[in-house]
Amino acid sequence: MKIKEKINVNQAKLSAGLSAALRICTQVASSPDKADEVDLSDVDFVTPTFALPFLVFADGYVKDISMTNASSYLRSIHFESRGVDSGAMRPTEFAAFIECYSRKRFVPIVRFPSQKTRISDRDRILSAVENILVKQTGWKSNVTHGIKYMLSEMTDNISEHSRSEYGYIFAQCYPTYGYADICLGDAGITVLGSYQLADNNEIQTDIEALKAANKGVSTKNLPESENRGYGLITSREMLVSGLGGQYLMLSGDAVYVDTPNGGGYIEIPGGIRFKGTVIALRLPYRNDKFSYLNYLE
Amino acid sequence: MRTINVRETAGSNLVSRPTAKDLFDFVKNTEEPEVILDFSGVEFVSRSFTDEFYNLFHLNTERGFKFTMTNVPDDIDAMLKAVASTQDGRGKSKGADADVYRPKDMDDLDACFSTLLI
Repeated sequence: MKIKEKINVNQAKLSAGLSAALRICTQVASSPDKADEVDLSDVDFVTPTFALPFLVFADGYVKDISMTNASSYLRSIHFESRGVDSGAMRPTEFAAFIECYSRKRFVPIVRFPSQKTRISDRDRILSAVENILVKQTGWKSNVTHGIKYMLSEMTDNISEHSRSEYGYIFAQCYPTYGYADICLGDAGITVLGSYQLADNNEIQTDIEALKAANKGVSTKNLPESENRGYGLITSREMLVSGLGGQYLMLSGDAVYVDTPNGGGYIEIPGGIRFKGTVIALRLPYRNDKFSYLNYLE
Repeated sequence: MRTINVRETAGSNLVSRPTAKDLFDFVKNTEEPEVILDFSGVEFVSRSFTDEFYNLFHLNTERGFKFTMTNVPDDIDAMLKAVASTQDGRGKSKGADADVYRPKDMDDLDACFSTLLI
């Protein structure tokens, strides 16, 4: 089936991109064909919360999903090629490539290696991405350190738990509105899948898994793992309470959102399930009083 | 007693558990009974790195391994103290008990997002 939607995501709501992506995923899921084509010719603008959920869905779906007729904008964010394969680039080649974005307002979709054997490559690539984001946003060092903390915990979770060979990162800055959106994702075993590998696991649904993860329940289930599980909860506290930002986590068929106004868990309707996990952060540009050290516990 | 420069051995931006394991293995392979870990030039440590560092180095202190740390930047010192203070799991589950929504379709999902102001 050929799927063609007029898409121009409004960045004002962090969830708007996810809603638009879910509508396409629903059409794919309801198609009787063995392979589907998503025609991108009517796509004007997408946000990280559209792009990464859609790519994670496409990576893990049982059917082949091809993307055609990408506009120059979609090609510039490397959407139709499913991200820049940074792990296949020489270190200096990637450094030169990403430097092109230092004066732009986005970081393209970067696919980075997440296997434990490639931790050094992963850290080098993400450090380069962080440096570009600092140039784009002008984040002061107090905010930058908090963002480094959050991104390091989230990428480490991908390497430690997802069993995915790669992760994605994509960022879009909105200087007029004073915030940036960063999305990280993986096409891995989901949070639920990670818990289900642990001995004596009692977690049965994606909602239960997101609740456990956001309470700091470690999947390692070992006495010496009592201090694991803090990365996610301290990152969320840092973002929402410290910086006044917004947090959205998608895994399997569940979404968890947290904002300064409160939070909630949502079960995705229509039987749509993502084989992977995506975390979106809405990060304000400035908060002079913020110190990440106040949120370490 | 040998001094090991952490930045030269593991880098200035220490963000993963395997890096802590590599640092520990390096120290262990020196076969020195006691070492000084010099943190000068280290700019950032993640919580994951610090947790692994804490578990590896302190667990082995109980087995007779001795180490001291010098030139530890204030941020890194604060991270080490935070990780040390949470080894018993205290402080978790903050703010994660929230309502569960089960929208019936995509329009209902959008309404949920609007309710949650996101």
